Amino acid sequence: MNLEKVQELREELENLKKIYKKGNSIIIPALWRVQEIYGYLSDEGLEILANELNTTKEKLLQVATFYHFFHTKPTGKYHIYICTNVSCMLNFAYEVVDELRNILKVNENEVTPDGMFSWEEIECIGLCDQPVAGFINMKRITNLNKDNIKDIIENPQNYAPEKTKIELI
Amino acid sequence: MELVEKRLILSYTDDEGSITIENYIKKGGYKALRKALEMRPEEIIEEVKKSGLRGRGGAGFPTGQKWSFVPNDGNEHYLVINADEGEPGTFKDREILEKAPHLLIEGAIISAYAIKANEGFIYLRAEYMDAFKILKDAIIEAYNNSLLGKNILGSNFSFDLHLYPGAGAYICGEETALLNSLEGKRGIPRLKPPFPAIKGLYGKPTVVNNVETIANIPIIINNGGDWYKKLGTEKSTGTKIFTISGAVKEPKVCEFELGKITFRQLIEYAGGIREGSKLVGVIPGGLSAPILINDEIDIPATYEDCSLKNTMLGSGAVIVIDDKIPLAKIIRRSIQFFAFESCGWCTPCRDGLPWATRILRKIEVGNGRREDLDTLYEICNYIKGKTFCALGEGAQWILRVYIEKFGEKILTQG
Repeated sequence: MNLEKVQELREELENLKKIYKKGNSIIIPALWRVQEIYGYLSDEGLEILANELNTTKEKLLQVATFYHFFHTKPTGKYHIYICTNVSCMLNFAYEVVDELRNILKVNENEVTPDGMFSWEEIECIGLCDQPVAGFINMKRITNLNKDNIKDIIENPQNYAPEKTKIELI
Repeated sequence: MELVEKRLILSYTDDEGSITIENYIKKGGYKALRKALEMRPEEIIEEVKKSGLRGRGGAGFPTGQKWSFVPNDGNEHYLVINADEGEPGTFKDREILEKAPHLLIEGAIISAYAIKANEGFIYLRAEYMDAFKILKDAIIEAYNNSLLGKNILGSNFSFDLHLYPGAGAYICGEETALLNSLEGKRGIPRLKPPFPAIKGLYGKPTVVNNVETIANIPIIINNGGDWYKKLGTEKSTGTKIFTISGAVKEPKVCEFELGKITFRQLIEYAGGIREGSKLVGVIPGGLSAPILINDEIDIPATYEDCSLKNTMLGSGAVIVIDDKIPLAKIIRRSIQFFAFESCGWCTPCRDGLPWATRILRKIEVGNGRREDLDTLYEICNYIKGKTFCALGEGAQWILRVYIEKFGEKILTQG
């Protein structure tokens, strides 16, 4: 048990309970907090959640698996999304995906052996004015092409945020 | 002829935008709220009805009418703002959320007052990560200025506004799927009726409106419904925000008076088609809208003109298609999207769309045969009219139109 993370999650849940008071609305924001703290929906995080919300891990997973952003397995330290929907595809998104696969030598949703990277295609993220678009740890990367994607892999720390947290009220 | 925008909403995003309350008030912000609080809720609904405003999320349902379905029962009501902008090609709401959050908040307060809701949620897609912080800061500013919370501006009206995070699901842009998601469930659409106005969030009367729709409300209250109705055409009043993307030189977001611009002009406005390629067609209203080809793109970009051409204005997302990418690949990628985003509730959509995608993949790699088009058409018939919501319906609609307009060219082009 990672006490520091458990403590952080409990505090976050207390905050969320003040915002989402009715029904089970708290579930999706709470799942986000687990993923933000653990990097994915870890057993430990889900068990704490299930306890606090008076439900079961299975019921939480039933909800979570509906949504594309929730990961039930660890991702790489840097998780990259590339939009390949039509507007980005017209701007050669698949060249970016092919290059990414070539450099990282792993398939979609696999983690590189050093644990540093994983990637997946994503549907339209509303950045069609800056194609090809994507995310690195949920932070935008835009105007991608098969050349500049290399720099992102070489210097991911220059692009990724230190911490990802959805601000709620 | 020079094309001139009519920037009603987008004027609030100009210069430094109106992220802070000071900037927003400088641009005339929160005047409409003061005026609205002097009116009776029914008068506001009447004004919005008069304006002819139609929902800007895609379906184009008259907003005032939607509001008037909410019963006058004295019970708790909810306002939900649909900021789950997921229709491919659409990024208009992003512009409002990130640059004019107070316009949205003012619109939300007035709308809530009109439908007698004391609590509201902005259901914001997680893809718009930056917008959470911007909106949260703006909401706090509004609370600090007595614009949200108890007894707004000293009136009897109280309203709390929350942010709710999506987690990646196109279908949650459908209002009843959104409500399920907001209740912490899988985002599966609900059977209608009952409509949300009668039985919505937590089983209570609820209005779900798109971001751009709500952003129009302060403008309508400031200027009056009659003034707004004078803009645009009889059936498409006011202005519309368009986003132009795909095979154009300068993809962009812009706002025009409805009826005053054609799709060909919108392409020109985005710098024209890119170098060295030929125009194949235009998707007029997001990926769910069937493609327009040849002289069809000379029609005005309005709800009724699109309808006459068997397509829709949808979200106003104009995707320009050229011949640099093979047509079969574009169709395959489009149907793959709907297959991936199908919630799985209805068999025709859940099973039909992956089947169509597999056939399209075969065509894409050059192994397509004439009969494959017949099978695709058959799949469209299996889906049409046999699903709960519009996702499968839209997918079969665009596929059907591609086959009707391009036929065997799909097998050979590229």
